[in-house]
Amino acid sequence: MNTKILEINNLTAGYDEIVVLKNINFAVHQTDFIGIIGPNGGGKTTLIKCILGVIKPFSGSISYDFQAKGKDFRKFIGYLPQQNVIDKKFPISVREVVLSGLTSQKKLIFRFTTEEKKKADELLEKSGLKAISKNPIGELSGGQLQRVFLARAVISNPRLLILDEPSTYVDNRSEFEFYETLKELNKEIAILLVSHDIGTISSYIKTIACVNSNLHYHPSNEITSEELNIYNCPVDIIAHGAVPHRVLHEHSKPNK
Amino acid sequence: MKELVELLHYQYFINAIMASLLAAISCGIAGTYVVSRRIVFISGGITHTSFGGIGIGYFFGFNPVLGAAIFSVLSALGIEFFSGKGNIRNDSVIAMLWSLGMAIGVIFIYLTPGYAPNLMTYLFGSILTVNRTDLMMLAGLTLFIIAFFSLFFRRIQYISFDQEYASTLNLKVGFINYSLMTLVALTIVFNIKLVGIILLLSMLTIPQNTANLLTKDYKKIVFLSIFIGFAGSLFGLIFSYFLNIPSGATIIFSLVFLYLSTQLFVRLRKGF
Repeated sequence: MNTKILEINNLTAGYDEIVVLKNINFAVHQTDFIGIIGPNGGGKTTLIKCILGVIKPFSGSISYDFQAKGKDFRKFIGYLPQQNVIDKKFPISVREVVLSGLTSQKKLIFRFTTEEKKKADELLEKSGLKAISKNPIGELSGGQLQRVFLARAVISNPRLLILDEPSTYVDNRSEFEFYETLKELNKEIAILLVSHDIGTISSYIKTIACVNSNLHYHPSNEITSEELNIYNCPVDIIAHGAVPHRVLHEHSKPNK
Repeated sequence: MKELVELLHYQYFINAIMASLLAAISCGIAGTYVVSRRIVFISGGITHTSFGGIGIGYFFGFNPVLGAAIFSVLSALGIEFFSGKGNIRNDSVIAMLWSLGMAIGVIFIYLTPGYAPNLMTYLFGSILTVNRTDLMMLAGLTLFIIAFFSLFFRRIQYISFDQEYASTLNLKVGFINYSLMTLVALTIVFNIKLVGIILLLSMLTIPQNTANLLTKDYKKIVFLSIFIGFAGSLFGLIFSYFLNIPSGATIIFSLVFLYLSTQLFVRLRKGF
């Protein structure tokens, strides 16, 4: 029973007058774990912003097939943005950051209910952050910070989780734990994982979408260099792709 | 001490204390927003641009504070508007408005026939000349700021912390940011009489940074900076009276003194 939860038809989108994405056709199903790869500027982030409803496409359509339709779609999508711009001195507690993931469903003036606060505490407990839930966000390590943002993304019980370059600033061990958590989450939630580091993600993702102005979907997690060539995928991935990724993994390990 | 008590018999001194309290509250709240969102430089721009409105007020003979309000709100909205656009650097916009506002002010004050008697009041502040109208305006603004921040506190905090994420959550980022910039601009204008255009930035930043040495909690920073701002203003007021120096300067000296002592206290407690 693998229901379709998101369908994109003939989507063309961009900024101002510059077209970044052309005629995208793409669908996400409930059990998917899709790696979105492609070069910088290829339109990965634009695609995500379209799905999140932040930018309106020039043409084409996106239909969401969650229980509720219309404007409510956003609460079914959890989002973990690229995290290189956080102000570490900002006065906000870990718990508040997690709770902020619930605000899309709120009225202009709102409070959090007791259940919502309980949910935040449960998530923090599960992520091993309970003891520091009242601490300011600036005191956290990269790995902890990432777990906080993951908790923020899933607190609204989404059916689709979108992650934008999640491993940019964490160490290897946290990265491993993080992907294991994603694997666990994928039992219930569809996941879209944007990365240009195909080496790390390929053992977790089930299928691949290559975005470079167009989108090409590969219904497996292995792609050959020929395929990448045909589809105009980025050069750095071709270089990696010529060697199977597992070999690459072992090569880099003893150096550390 | 006896002289201090006698001071309380004078209405102008009571007014000054009331003004200090209202200023501490409004600047405490607006300043925490400004400091945590790192837009101190924008506030500097808004403050100085308002001088253009003061000049125009002088020339055409209406209340300079009204002119300052119009100029500062427009510059605040302008800066917020341009900061979303890619084709011009945000800090350059601020610098341009900053100097343009000052230039307009200088031109119109120069063109105004006769001597501009209260000019120094606007530049350096003169808390002892605060009148009932000033107080009423400041009180109105302070109440409005308290209400706005109480109602939208979480939205304000979340948007300031991570605007990129907030915009994907449909958090009304535009509405909140424009409203807050307007409030910051009005806070600045209504407090000009207290410390003056040139020194106003201190009321929005020094108490907050002092408070931030003691706590990392947004709400506590607000309350602490109100307290610190009020204490600093009172000390400044008293020094100003006894030493016969402009109040703006003495208030800032007191605030900096409080900041440095707190810094010292925190370091001593940590054992350096």
